[in-house]
Amino acid sequence: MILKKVLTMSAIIALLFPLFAQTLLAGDMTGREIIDRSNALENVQDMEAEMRMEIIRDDRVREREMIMYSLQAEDGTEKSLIRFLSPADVRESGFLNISYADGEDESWLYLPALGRERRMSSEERGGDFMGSDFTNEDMTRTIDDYEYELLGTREINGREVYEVESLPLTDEIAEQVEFARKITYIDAEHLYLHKEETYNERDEKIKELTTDNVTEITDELHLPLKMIMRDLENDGKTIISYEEIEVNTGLTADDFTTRALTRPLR
Amino acid sequence: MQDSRNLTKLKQVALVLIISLALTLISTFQTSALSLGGQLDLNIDYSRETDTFDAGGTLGIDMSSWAGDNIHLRTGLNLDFTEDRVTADIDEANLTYFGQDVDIILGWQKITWGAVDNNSPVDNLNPRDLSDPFSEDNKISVPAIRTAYFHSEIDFDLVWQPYAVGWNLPGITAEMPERTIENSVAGIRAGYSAPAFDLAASYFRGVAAEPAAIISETGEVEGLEHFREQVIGAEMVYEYSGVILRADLALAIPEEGEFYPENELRYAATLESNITPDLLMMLGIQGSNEIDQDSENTAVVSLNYLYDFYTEISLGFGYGINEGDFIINPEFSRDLADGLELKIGAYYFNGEAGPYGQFSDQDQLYLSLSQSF
Repeated sequence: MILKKVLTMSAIIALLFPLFAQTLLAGDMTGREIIDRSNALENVQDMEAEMRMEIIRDDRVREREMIMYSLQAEDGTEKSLIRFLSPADVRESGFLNISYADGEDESWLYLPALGRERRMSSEERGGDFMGSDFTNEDMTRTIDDYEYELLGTREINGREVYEVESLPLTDEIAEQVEFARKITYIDAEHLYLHKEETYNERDEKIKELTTDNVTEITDELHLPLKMIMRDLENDGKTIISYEEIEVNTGLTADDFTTRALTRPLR
Repeated sequence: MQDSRNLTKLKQVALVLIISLALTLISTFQTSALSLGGQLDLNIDYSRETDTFDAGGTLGIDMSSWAGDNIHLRTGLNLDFTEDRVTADIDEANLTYFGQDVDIILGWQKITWGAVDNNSPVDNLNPRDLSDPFSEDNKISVPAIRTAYFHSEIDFDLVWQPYAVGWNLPGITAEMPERTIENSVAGIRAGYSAPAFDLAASYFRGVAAEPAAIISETGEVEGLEHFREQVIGAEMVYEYSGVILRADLALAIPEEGEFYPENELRYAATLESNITPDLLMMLGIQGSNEIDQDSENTAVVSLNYLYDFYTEISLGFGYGINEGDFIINPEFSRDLADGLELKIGAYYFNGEAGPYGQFSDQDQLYLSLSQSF
């Protein structure tokens, strides 16, 4: 039982608040600059959110609820902490990830049954995020591992969007992340994600991510509160909904320690 | 047995006191709502030796609440039932104060030291309940005061138990020493964490929870006794390229006496790696070596394959290196719904003696249903 949970949750790597955005004056930006500036954590110091994930397979729906905290430190280190609220068999479990500016990661898992935190391997980029249709890489894009090209602009749902192509820099990275390229559609005004398509090495579209419920978090930050990932190969669907998002709440490094990871939930 | 009854009574008293204190704190500090959770396990086992089926189960209930911003109260109750009896016991009952840099836990608690997940030689503060040798959670909580101090990457853990509690070994009794300050139990552990590795050193002094055999000069076992001992421990976790090494080393130094055993080195280490995103492999070795004596070692291998989000297939294999005995434990588990898990598996033992061979008459098939709430 414990090992099963460890195995399942070891697939969670650094769940940061993925991509998705700030308000900018859209000038002549490159594909890389658009992706950089659409990373929400580039624009705030910390974030706190409650999230619900629905994993849909045929007629079955499994729900996971969690609370997530994220911090961008001044030295470029990104820290994230997840605590699971439900279902009951994973309640109080948690995951801590620290991603250093030099690209190194370290991760700890907390399972109440173990009675302590447990250092985990942080090399599972292509694995499923908690058995969902998102991969760890979907949630925690390592921006430096890709080259980007701005393909142009187009209109989606009445809004102008940038169309950016991402290609893994090396074959090794492509093998790890298990895709050949992505096309990302980013709002030209507020730089939040509209849609993302994932292609395999045969250039077949294998996944499609769409977003909804775009909300103004601050004057400068707009985020979609709903993300729908469809796996076109196995007909699976996962919906992630952010219930509440707060930014710049004053979180500090002390909130991202193994001590914080094992503290009982309120 | 007397100790066991006293322990239960003391735990009951502690539960009443902690619940009373909780109610007082709840009314005083406008606490968070009481959090209630738990798990119901139902088991059916088939014994090959006796050709019989046994049914039973466990109901575990946990209650917890925050009082103000810094005080947390927790109590747990376990109800075990078999075909002919029901027993109740308190799992943990404690109060924790969370300070700026210090956490203080007071009451019945389980304390885990060591880098490896199971049977760490430095994890000596809680005795084990071996009445069900196949139980995954067999730690017995102990009355203790625990103080943990945190400073940057360093943490210190200081534990004091007013008296020792012995292992629960079915059919075996070993008298515990008199409850005196001298026979109390103390431990200190210092840990350091850095990118890619964790290190810790620990020191334990007190009455060993696990009884040891008293060996006469002629080499015969004359009985069991809980020796006083010191244990100096070291722990390490290291990650390299997706492989995690966990290693514990302990030097156990029994206090001098006529029949007391020699100093003993105890060790355990595991290597784990995800061969694919869905397949986890763990290799391990553990053993002990009395100074100037032969070592006793076991090797373990486990494979866990996550077929899909709901289904896992695992295979565990343990090998007693000295006796050539072994165990095979295949298991299939599936989440039938959120929080509801089905497990079907088997234990097969082989050998005449040794850590696995001694159970060669306990081969079994098992089926269990667990519902968390």
